[in-house]
Amino acid sequence: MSKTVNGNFRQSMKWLHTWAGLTVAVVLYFMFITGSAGYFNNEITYWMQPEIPLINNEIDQREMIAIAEKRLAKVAPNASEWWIDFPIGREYALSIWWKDVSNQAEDGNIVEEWNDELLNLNTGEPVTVRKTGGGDTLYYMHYALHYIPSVLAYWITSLFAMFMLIGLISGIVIHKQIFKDFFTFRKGKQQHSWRDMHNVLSVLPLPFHIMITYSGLLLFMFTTMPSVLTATYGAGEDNQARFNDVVFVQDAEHKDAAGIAAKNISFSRILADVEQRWGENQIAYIGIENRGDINAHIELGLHGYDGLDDKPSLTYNAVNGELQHVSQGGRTPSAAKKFYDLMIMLHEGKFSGSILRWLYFISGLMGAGMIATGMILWATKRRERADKKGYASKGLILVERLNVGSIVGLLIAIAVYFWVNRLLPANFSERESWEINGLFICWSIMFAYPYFLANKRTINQLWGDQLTIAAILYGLLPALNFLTTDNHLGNTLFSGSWVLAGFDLTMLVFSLCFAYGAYLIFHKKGNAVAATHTIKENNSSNSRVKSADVNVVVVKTAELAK
Amino acid sequence: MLNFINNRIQQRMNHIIQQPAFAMLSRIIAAIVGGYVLSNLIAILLSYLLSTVWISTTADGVMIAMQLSYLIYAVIAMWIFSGKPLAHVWRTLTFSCLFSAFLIGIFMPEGLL
Repeated sequence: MSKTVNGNFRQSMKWLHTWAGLTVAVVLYFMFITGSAGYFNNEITYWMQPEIPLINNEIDQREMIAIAEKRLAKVAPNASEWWIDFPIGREYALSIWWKDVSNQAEDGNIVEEWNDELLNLNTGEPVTVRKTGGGDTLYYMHYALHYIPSVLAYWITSLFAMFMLIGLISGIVIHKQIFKDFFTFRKGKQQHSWRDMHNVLSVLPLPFHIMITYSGLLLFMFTTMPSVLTATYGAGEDNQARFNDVVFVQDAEHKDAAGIAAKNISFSRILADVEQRWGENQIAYIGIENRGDINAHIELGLHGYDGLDDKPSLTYNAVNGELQHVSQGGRTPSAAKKFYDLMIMLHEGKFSGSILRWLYFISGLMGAGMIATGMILWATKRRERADKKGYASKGLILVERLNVGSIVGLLIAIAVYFWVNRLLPANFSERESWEINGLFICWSIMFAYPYFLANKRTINQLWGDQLTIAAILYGLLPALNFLTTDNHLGNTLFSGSWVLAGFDLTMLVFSLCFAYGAYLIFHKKGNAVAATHTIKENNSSNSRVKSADVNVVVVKTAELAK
Repeated sequence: MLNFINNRIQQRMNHIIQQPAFAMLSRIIAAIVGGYVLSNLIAILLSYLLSTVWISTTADGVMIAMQLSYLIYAVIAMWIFSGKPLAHVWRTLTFSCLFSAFLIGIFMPEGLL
């Protein structure tokens, strides 16, 4: 038992890779799919709020500030804070928000209330947009899941990320010849094809997989590994603040309101200085705090990134217009913190332009594909063996059916999320939560689907069915968009709204992929997905097991169970 | 009578412990819970070593140790599933936890600061 021969260790890791992978595969697949969609969260939200007016021509930021200030003065004359977000980079609308402070509460406490509006650039009037979870809800679910408290979800997703990390490391260990395997593709050979595909999807983006998994763990480091900090600094907020003060160096604190009234300058007064230093139309947001006070200041953020890091934000005195402070992003020179920041920035990919963002998206989908092919490989391998024996275990049948519903079912459910967004009336109450309920209701149906049709359809046909449904739902999304909004391909392609057009076109590409998958299954016999078979309940458990791999797994299970 | 019940419980327990499913469950708990506890203890020791022996500030020692703790966790979990007998796994795990807790108790009785 204490043999530490290389081969033995590798076999153990193979066992671990297989079973740890299978246990958490569905949730990890969910995390990879929704996380990948999250790289386009703003773009998806833009598509899901078709009331946002198209940005036809580039309007100067000076004009936008004038429009926004005019509206703010009208709607929020007494607000203590004003903020403006510009349609630049990945922001697709001019939005304003403000903080109203009133002491109208019965107990005499001050009530702070944030309000926001989206402005039409041509008219300067507010636009009413439908409420939607948008791309942010998809993005949020990849670490906070849904329907459960978020802290509990952080623990769960972190634990599953741990499984993923172990899956990756053990996956590397079991590959003697990782590069040789990588260039091997055995087409049309059932489990060999699936294994080759699994290898390609794992090895090609391996640096991405490792980075995204490890940095995902680090993102919740202070939630899931708090003991180191507590052991060194002690428990409680005061003690942890001593750590935070050193590691997370804060920018200079803004001054609080002094309670002395003073006249503030308008945003446009400081623009000359901003443009002189950083160029025209470079502002991402601008805002004023402590309005009407002598300590009022204007803060603005520059658009874009310096390498991976945020561009600085600038603070101006709102009484005399002097530049007070240029933030340096609060970065410390400490190598440990730099590495931490690097991992977080790589995970979030905020710095990436459109090409790199697509690479992130595709890498994420490849991660999902790696998990999906792993799940299919597990089932295909055992199906081949079961067909030889003429007996399929309950576990195999369960996984085969779950695979259909979890892999294709989730993709269908996300399409339904977009469909519900268009089909629910724009003023429907709680439409955000019903969009997401629609997603989960649909996914549940897709899980149940193989069970309802188990006697009529083979597993292969079930795959084909769901791929067909996916192809139809994604393929008709642009048509639905055409019927329900003005932001359809006919308009977006010609007005150069590439984000909206890109969404519709991407849906069409997805549809074609699913349709091709369905075509392969229904029209080409003996292709990739396991051959058609009938499930026989047969108790001949002493059948000869041929494959050496199978033996290893059986022996390994027995060994670990000692 | 009591003796009889005691014996029955004893038999029952032995029966359960000898089940392969129990052994697997035990190993999984060793990896997830035991691995978590041990990786935290090792990381605490590491943060101490980094900030006292090696040149690094206390805060940096904590940052480095926290970031490495996941890798330590992964290695422990993989070791637990590398085919060692279950009794050996639990023995080593318990001993390592006690030993590192003992060292922590000596070096940093009230934390570092």
